[in-house]
Amino acid sequence: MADLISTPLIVTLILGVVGLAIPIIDAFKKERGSNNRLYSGIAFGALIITIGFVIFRVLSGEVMPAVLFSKGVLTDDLFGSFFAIALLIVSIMVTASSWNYMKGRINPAAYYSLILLSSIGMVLIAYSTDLVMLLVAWELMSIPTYALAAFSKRDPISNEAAIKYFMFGALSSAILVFAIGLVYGITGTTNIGSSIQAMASLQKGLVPVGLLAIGLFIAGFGFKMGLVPFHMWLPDAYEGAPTTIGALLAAGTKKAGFAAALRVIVLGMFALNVDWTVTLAIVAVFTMTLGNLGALIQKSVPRILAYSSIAQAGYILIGIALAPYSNQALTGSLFHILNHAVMKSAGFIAAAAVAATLASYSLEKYRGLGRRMPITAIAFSISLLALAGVPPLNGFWSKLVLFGAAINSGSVVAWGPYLAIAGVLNSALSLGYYAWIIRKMYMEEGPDMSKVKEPRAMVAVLVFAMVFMVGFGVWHAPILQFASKAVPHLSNIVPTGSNHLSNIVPSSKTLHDF
Amino acid sequence: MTELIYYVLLSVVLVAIGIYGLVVKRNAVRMLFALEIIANAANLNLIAFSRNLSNAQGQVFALFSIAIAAAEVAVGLGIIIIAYRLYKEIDVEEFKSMRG
Amino acid sequence: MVDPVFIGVAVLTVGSAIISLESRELIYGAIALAISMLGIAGFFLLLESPFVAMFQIAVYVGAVAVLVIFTVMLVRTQALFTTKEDKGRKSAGIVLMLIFMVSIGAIFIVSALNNHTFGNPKASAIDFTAIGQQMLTYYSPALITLALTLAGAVIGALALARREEEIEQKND
Repeated sequence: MADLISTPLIVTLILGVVGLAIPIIDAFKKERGSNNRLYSGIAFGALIITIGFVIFRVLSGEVMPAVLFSKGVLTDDLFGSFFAIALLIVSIMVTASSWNYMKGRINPAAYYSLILLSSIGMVLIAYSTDLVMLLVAWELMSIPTYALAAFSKRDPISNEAAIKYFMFGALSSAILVFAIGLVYGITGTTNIGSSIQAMASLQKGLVPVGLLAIGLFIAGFGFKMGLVPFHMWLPDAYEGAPTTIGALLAAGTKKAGFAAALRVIVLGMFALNVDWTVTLAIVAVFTMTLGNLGALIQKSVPRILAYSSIAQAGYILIGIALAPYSNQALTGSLFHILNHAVMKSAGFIAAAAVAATLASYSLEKYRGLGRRMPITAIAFSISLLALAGVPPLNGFWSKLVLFGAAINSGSVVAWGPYLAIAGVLNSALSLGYYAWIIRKMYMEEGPDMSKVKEPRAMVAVLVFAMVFMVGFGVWHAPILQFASKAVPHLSNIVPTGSNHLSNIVPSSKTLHDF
Repeated sequence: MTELIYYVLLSVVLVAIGIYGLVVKRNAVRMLFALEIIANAANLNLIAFSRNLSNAQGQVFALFSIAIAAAEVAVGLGIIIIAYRLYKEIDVEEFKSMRG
Repeated sequence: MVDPVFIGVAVLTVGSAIISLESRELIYGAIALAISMLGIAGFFLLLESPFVAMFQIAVYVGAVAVLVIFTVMLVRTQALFTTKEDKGRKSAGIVLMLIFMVSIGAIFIVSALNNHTFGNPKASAIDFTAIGQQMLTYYSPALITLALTLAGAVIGALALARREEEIEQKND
């Protein structure tokens, strides 16, 4: 049983009560004016209190280091807290920028309530140590986002995107139920820790079923993560959804997918002791290459960002593929997940700011943006440069840790360094289209060069993101330390000495040496 | 009692039918039917395992899964009704602006 | 030995699942889907899980199927006759279905699941007090999350189903 004052329960309590209170307040309101500001303020306040609580719990040292075996359905560990902080930052940025985005739009109460409910789901995924809890949290994350993606009801493109997103989302959750059923059937429990222990000593005849279950898990989570064979819905959905919700999908639900994958797939594969790393490495290379190539030919900014988020999933996957060979790899993945969450939300929110003032997503409208909307343009440029991994921004450091881990693992696996090479080449390729957007904003002149008023709340969010990206680029040590404490220590997982586990190289370097 | 393997194979057949429906059908409501068939097959699997292991956890999970599927259907039908209002029909094929 | 009742319910379930996808009119498809779900509930009874069977009938047949039928009746029927389908897509779908069925089925048949002694086939049926116990002790956080999920679905569905015109007039 989870402790009564454990972080996940308090998060659920605060956000759940506020999330349900907003529509109730709306129902009892007499006058029907747009109460956007009120609800936005309430939701923003609740999220700030929640993230403050999570950070306080981490700083006060009451949170356990990464644990895998918990008797209950939820745990209160640093791994979950790391994801909770990253995901709550995304929710805060989305909520704050919706202050402007939702102005004059209908149904703000439901909008903010759904964002809060979806945030609970994302946070609980990161904390769950039981497959049933994971699935229910997964649905709590997904179902509100289906409705949010369809929120602009007048827009046919948005609606098709929502239908596409809904179909793939529902398919992925049905696949997950099937996969969980198989794991339960062969191990007799739904607790992740116990089922991994049972899987480690699985009778030989059941191993193919276990592998099938892991494959189904990869497919189910892969839909949300946007890994390559399962990515086809993603650009449409991210572009079609309201742009602020695009930020929530790309930076929030996608990262929660990685949290789930790290909890389940990596450990399950460990237990089954199969050579899976090569498969994941191949998927990683395909994901980043196809993502970047897809981005090169796009004309609409949210679409470019969507393809770039596919590519970034590929970089994160490098760390997961190399998890057994280097503890640094997972640290790099986590660090990159946090960075990408901020970078990508900043990108989407900048696009939302442009859409709110200039009413267009087309790249052509971005010409001369440097003079028309100076703050938005500079924030957008910084987030693009951070996505490309230009030093000294935060994206550079997480990529450095990831690629460094890949090179270090060369002593154990021959193909490790090739992942680093693929990653560096892809970063160079991505710099191509990022630089092209920046050139459009600063070097080219549009037909209309008059300065326009920038939406205030979005500018505030973008300034926060700029400070984050530059600040943690220069001063990256604390996050790296936090990430390295939050990763599960894979050497403790399976007591029996399997050949994979003897291969684990505990990284002798401390992360400061990087 | 029928052996476990027959239930598992039956659920595989149902999932396969559902996947066929998702691939072939372009009507949003039909695709929803296909999704429901897959979800039902997964639940069947769960109950069969639960009975076989004599463990209540599978039944609890099946109850959760049924409730979740119903919630999903409600939201999905909401989106489909919006599509109908926009297009006056619910054939995905008619979505002209869909780009790959 | 396969139970004849099992075969009968299996034929009903699979057959009506196919009809739900292939019937010419959507409304018959919705009814066939409800029958297929009833078939699944029948399997739950065969597996001595009456509580889940009842839940399945109440939620799937009672709520989901009715919801679907209402939606089908709400949208204009004329639009629902569209059955145009790509021949190529259809054959590709059938091939995919067969590949899936054979490959996944083969995995199960060669695995130890196809073994009389797997698990505990002689075990007694689960008492449904055990379900309630599990749900309120071990799974209690999941139950709270489920409640929030359903609340989210209701809020989302209400937001989607509201007509914009009326609200906009009030907003002005």
